[in-house]
Amino acid sequence: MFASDGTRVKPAAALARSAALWLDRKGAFRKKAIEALTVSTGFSAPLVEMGIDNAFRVVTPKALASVKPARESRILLIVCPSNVFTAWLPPAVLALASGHSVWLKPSVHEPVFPKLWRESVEMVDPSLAERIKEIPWRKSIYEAADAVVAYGSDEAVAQLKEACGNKPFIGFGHQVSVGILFCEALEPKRLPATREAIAHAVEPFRLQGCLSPIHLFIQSDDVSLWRRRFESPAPFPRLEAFHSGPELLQKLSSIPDRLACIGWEGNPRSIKPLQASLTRLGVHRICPLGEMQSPPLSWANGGIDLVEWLKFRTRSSIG
Amino acid sequence: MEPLHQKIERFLRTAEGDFDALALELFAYQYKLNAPYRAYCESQNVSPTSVHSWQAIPAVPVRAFKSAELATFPTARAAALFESSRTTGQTPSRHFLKDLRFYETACVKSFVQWVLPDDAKLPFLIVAPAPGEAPRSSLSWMFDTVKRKCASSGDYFVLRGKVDSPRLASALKSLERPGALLGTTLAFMAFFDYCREKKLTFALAPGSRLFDTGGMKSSGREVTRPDFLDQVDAFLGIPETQCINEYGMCEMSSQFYGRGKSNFFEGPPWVRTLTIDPATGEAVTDKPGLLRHLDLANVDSVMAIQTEDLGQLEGKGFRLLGRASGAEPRGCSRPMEHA
Repeated sequence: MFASDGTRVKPAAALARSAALWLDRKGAFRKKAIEALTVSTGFSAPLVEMGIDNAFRVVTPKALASVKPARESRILLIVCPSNVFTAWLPPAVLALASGHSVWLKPSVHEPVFPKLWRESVEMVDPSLAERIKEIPWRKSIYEAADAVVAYGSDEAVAQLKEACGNKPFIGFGHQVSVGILFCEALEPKRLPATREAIAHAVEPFRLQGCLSPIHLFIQSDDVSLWRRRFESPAPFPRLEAFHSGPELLQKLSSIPDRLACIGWEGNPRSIKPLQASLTRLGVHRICPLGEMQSPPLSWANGGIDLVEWLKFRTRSSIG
Repeated sequence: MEPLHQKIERFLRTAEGDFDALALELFAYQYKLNAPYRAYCESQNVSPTSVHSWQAIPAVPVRAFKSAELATFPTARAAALFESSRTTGQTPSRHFLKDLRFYETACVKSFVQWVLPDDAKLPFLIVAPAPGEAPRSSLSWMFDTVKRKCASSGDYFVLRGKVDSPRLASALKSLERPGALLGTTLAFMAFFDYCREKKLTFALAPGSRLFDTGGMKSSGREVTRPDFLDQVDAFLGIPETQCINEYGMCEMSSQFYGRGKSNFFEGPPWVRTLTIDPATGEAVTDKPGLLRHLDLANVDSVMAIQTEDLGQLEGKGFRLLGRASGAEPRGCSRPMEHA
């Protein structure tokens, strides 16, 4: 792929360099971004920093190495959510790395992150940034786009999908996540690490994100004890006891919402026998509790491999 | 040249002034001295040199008051800090006030116009905590201010977070002249529950009035405005025409008022409201939208606030239609703007 001035553009390297701008703790760009996002998102500066770190630390040359340039450049429209400001970054990054253009329709409530992301790309590669457009809503918004990724409520996603007709479409509607603390994670010597993992999972986005555990299942007889030990004044998951794998699976299957991710803490031998059943429940990501909020770029959210989808051979969608 | 603060104070007192010019001047002032607001504006490539009308002044989402210190001054020097009510697990909004001049002038002006248009000097029975008990409640500050400036006497009937219904009942029983009851909708409902249980009703003197605010939000109770006003009439003998409803928020220094069963609210001359199409972000007039208020009395915080309340502009005010999103946002599912 070539820029207008004829120089060779390596989108993956440029995207990784722009991610480094976001991650540079002493950099002026990050400082400015945090200040602006603290206003637009309603999240405190530490929470904004967590969101930034979780989103950009996975944007590395290595993570983008598997992305092959598409044969034909297309336009991907992303309808951004207002609550989890970084949620749309993986498809945007992967689309750009594939050689596509990205149109971002920002939320009225959070107009800052799309602008700043484009700015960060422009700082390292102006020609690559030319392929990012921020566009306001209009009725004909779908017509010029070749494919759509949308975030929102189930109803809104369904409406968008209908409006898009036969266009390739992915809708990320309502999903929730769950944490599991096996009994080994509750042993005194493991408790500090468990607490830290809980904080990493629970604090970002104040439990509003689809990767935030809204339930925390504890393998213990005494949930009230752990409630006293773990709970904080900040939003905290609902704690629930379980004693065995089958009981846990039964409780998980009774959660009415789609499950996006399950984070666990304890001995890996405890989660292993449950993995096949969890996959059957529709869970596409099972990871250590402390890693829930920073999925790899390659994560098939909703079971959709974005890199593959961006070749536009299928019309996959989740609603 | 007359300083900005003086011009705004004069506008608040006399309604004399050019709203458009003052709004632009205040935007430039807040952009210069309010660092988080400036960063927010800069991220959208907006500055005082690019804004030529009050409608184009960037509005901060109301949730920004939860996360940022939106002030033109060091907040340690604030004369007052107003916080929204705390609910479990929720971060309260924080509104820092450099001085209380603008807040007090704004609230007294509107209160007198709506609640005391007859210049009556009435005893105030305030069904809310006193400022000493709730020092960060803008409502308690407001009630204290209007009590000091407008009432013949006044007393509070909420203690340690609970309505002191027996004492309020006793005060109402001994009230031989018209009085003004001020409080939250929820507090009045608690008192009516007590009256129902004790089989109490009152027939307050003609000229008595009731001011309520807050609606039934977060209470889990389903009481419509007409139902509430029927209970006011039944338990207190105050007719609908003498009931005034306030719509306000701790992030604003000014308030909106409505009367009776209507959902129509009006603001003072120093506040202007736009309705924003949630899909496009554009101002609309022919259909409901998200309410965006520009309050000149918010001198040392941010004047332009984008709320999540839905409304429809009408005449000099708007009809309040509720919240844009009732459910707790979760799972990347905040309703999208086009729906």
